[in-house]
Amino acid sequence: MIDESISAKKIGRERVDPIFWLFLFLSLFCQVTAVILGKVAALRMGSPTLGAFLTNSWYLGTVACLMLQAVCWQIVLRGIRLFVAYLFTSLNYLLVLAASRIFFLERVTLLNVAGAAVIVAGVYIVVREDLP
Amino acid sequence: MRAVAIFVTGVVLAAIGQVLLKKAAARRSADSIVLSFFDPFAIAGYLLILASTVTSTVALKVLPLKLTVALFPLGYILVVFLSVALLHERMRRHHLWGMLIIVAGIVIFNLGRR
Repeated sequence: MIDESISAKKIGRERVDPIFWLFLFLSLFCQVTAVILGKVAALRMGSPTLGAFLTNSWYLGTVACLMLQAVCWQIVLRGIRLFVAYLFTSLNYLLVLAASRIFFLERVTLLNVAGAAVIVAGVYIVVREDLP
Repeated sequence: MRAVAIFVTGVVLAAIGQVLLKKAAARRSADSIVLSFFDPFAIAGYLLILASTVTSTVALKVLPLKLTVALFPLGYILVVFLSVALLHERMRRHHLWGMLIIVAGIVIFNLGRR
């Protein structure tokens, strides 16, 4: 068992506890939710004063999501290599694209969709051997 | 040109910030998560990321869109490079291909903003 793990490390493959993947997904979810709430906050805010920020519950939701994301990210970095986790976060292009279409009815171009599909393919290639 | 330099500086700061966060996470792996936020590396990392948001915002005000298309994926490349160079993370050929495909995807995605 130990030998297996060592040889896997030698060729750059690492066993990752599934809990770290869960937190990576959670981190991504928080990041995307923060973007969505931030957009709603911006749409509902009048002049951008300090008071307007502090009384805007959507903005406070954004901050809460970012704080939660920071906690998740700290856990993720304890178990997953930085470059793998960081490249995985590029999936936010796809999720934000979907959210902007679903929640804000924004225009989505063919290049947006093609780019997001290429990103998903790249992420799959990066993580396929590290997935549980 | 100055805006490009400011933007790239922001990208470099954010990438170094991520490396410092990873260092903090590795040092504090046995401690509670709350404690890891008080690690000097974590504090420095978050300060650098904060600084990068300021520089990026300043640069993006004047940078032409065609340039941002090329500059956006820079952060991913730099984080991968620093992970290997400074953190000695092991990278295999498929990781490199995956990164290049992601970078291409980001460029294609951003071309769709025109």
